[in-house]
Order: sequence, then C-alpha cells, then structure tokens
Amino acid sequence: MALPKVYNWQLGREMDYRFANGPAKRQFAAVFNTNRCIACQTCTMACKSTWTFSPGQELMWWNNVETKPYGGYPAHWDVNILELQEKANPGGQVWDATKKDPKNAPYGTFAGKTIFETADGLTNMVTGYLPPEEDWKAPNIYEDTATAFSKTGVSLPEHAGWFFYLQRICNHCSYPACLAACPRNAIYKRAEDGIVLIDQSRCRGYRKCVEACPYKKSMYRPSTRTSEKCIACYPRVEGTDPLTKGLPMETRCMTACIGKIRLQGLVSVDANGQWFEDRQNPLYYLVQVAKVALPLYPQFGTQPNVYYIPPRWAPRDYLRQMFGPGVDDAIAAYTNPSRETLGVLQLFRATQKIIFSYKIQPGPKTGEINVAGKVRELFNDTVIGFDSNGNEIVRVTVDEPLIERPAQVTMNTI
Amino acid sequence: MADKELEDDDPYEFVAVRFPMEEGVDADEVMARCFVEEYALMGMPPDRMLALFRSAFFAGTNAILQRRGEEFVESIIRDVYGPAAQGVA
Repeated sequence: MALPKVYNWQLGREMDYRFANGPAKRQFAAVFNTNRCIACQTCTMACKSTWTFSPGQELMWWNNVETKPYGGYPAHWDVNILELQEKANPGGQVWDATKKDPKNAPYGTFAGKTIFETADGLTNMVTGYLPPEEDWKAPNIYEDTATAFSKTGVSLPEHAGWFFYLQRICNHCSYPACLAACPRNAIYKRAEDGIVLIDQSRCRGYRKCVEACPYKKSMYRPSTRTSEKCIACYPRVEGTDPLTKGLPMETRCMTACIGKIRLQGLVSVDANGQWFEDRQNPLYYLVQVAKVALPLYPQFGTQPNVYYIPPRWAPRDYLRQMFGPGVDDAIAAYTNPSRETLGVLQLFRATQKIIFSYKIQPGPKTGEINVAGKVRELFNDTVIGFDSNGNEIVRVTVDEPLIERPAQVTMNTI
Repeated sequence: MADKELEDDDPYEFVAVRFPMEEGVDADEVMARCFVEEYALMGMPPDRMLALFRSAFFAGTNAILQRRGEEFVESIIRDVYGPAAQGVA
C-alpha cells in the first residue's frame, strides 16, 4: 500500500506519511536559546506542578531539561533512535547541503531516510522503540550530579570541557510520529493551532505512540492505562485562561523561564506546515529570516515545531547531527547578531501574552565592542511587542537593566 | 575513571561526560568569550563583567577565573570591550 506523499520543508523534500495533509491555520511554535539556559529546571517544575502531579504520573515530565552530551530523559533516547536509523540505512543518513532553497529547503536536502521511511508500513508505521521503565526513572541522574553520599566529602566532577543544556517539550510536530502510529486514531492535531493531543476516551494504552515518538514525549500512565503527553497548555494558548481576558498566552514552561531563553507563539501555516510570510512575527523572524534557530533532529522527519539556537561553544559535528546542516550559519548569525536579532532576543519571556508582531524603535549608540573578532556598534534600541489584536503588550530595551544584590544579604527574613 | 578508558564489561554508568574538544581549542577561552560577549551585547559595563567572574555565586564564570587566573579573564574582557575596558580590566 502506497502511503501519501507530504512535503517536509525542513528536509527539503517530499516524504511518506500515513496521512495526507489536513487543514491547518496556525501552528504552535517556540524558540529556545540554549546559550542562556542554566538548567534551573523552573520550567520543569512549572509544568509538573500544573499537569503531572497526580498518581500514576510520578515518572512523567512533559518538560525536561537534560545535560548534553550525556543526559537524556528517557535515558539515551536520542542515541537509541539514531542507532536504529543508522542500522536501517547504514551510511545513508546524510544531508546534501548544496541543494538549498530559501523557502522549500532552507537547510539543504536530507538524502537519508526518515523514521517513517525506515519502517515497513505494515506492522510498523514508524521506526521506534519502547524505553524500559528503568530509563524513565531518574531524568537527570548521572549527568553532572554527585551519585553517592560520602561522610568525608566528595569532589564533584570539574567541567574542563563544557556541557550544554537541552530543553525539551513535545514538538507538536507537523507530521507527528505518535499520531501516525496510533492504532486507535486517538491522537489528533488541531487545525487552529497545530497542538497535538491524545483523546483520553479513545486511548487504550497500546503505547504505540510511546514507541513511535522519536523525542519520547508521549508517556504511559499506569493508573489510567492510557498514554499522555504535553498539551501545550492549550487553555492558555486559546486565551481561555482568565488571567489575560481572552488574549492568547504562552505556556507555563515558557512563562516560568527565569533565564529568558524561551519565546513561544503561533505562526500562520499552510497545509504542509510551511510558514506563511509574516515578517514582523518574532518567531518567523528568528526561524525564517535570521535563521538563528533550528529544529531538533530534523532528519527524523516529523517536522518539529520547537526551534533551538544552538550553543556556540559545543563541537560542531555534534551540533550538525543534532540540528542539521544549518548549524554553522545559525551560530554565526547568533554570535555577532544583527541589530534586529539583538532586539528580538530581548522579547524572550518579556510578557506572558503571546507576541504576534514586534516593532523596533532605534535608540542611541551606547558603545563599541569586539565580537567574533569584529568591531561592532551597540545601540540601545527599544523593542515593542503587540498582541493578537495589534495592541502593545510589552516594551523592552536592548540594554538589559542591571540589578545587583548587596553583598551582605540576610536570607530568609520573612 | 578520568585516566582509564571505558571497557565493555564496565558495570558503571557514565557520570558527567564532557565534550571531547578538538586539538588546539582552549575550551575555557571559548566559554569565557561566550560569557563576556553575551553580556556585553546586552549592555553590561566591563567593571560588572569582572565582578561576575570574581563572584563565587556565579559558578561557571568563577570556575574559569579560579582555573586560569584573573589576568586570563581580564585579557578577554579587554579584547571584547576595547578602550572601554581601560582602567577596569
């Protein structure tokens, strides 16, 4: 049986998928700046305390932050799926970065096979694996933590080389593997915002979605015998949360970020999940214009909608495997950012409301610095964000206000 | 484990695995430059930058200063800020 052909713009080519494209208006999307994450796990706890605090959800972390290269939740998830793909198509999982097109193939063309194409399409719709229970148990154990208690004290590992932190939620993929794998068709993708949900009344806990999701963001709950996943805080995204009086709001994990590394919103898309031009949408600007943010493991083929600004200090071959061939350009664009990029970066976590468009008011020159070996001028521009109705919701400057705590602080004086 | 290769029958899990750095790359310099440039782009003055490395409350920056010394950090701050760092670093 021939599967429908769909277009995956992140791969720059058509691919097989179980379903033909359905209607789509908007897509939930986010940009995470790995360069500024300190792995405080505030996002993780914001999500946990909102959605997964009930019996049966103890090992469930819809949002997690893991330490790369070693860490993973579930353990070794990315190494495992990369290995399965390599086994299915030995030596063939490569990109042709010369075949580029600004709109249809911005990173080049993936010459290998997706997780849908390495599956047989009969017994399995997707190549994947079911992680053993052990792998879900301790989301950060053994990463950069001490692993034993010692009465005489221990010496923690010294970071002579540097890690980076990878923030992970469901990617609300344009071609979700979980959705393709579900034998009950219990998983659906909403046309109005692209959020992928599991219909709990239809789910019977076969765990095919858990097996299929390459990012392992569908999780089984033994107390209900169903699978659950990140719901993108959809009441907030819909604007039905009373806090913003009908205006779309960012998710809990985004708004809790103290490092201001996350920006989330909605982008206009066509049936393929390709973004319509929307020049003043900050997400459109970062992903499609400045190209500083890249999808996570695009070669899996699900067209994920969370984009990452890659860490500038990590080895490039590792990053190319993780974010595709756009890494070098993305890091160059981030290391010495344009005046506009610098401004848009200040919008990250500046408001709980979703920013649909922005405007930059030029400010005075404040100095010159050398970045990446080049002299550049600094300007204290003002960046203004607007809501879905075009009303101003936030105004920030490029110069980050500096607040210094006194050296002597009396703690816990409440 | 630091000076021993992992063997197949090794029963232990990896702990705190680091990126292998390419030959000739000074990981501390790459990271220190990243810290300084990131903050400089957001308008942090050079004197505050040095304080960030001196303070033990900022583990990443302070680890570099502890390991490589103040002159190493100052040279990067001078390089990034240019004349603006005169008299500060």
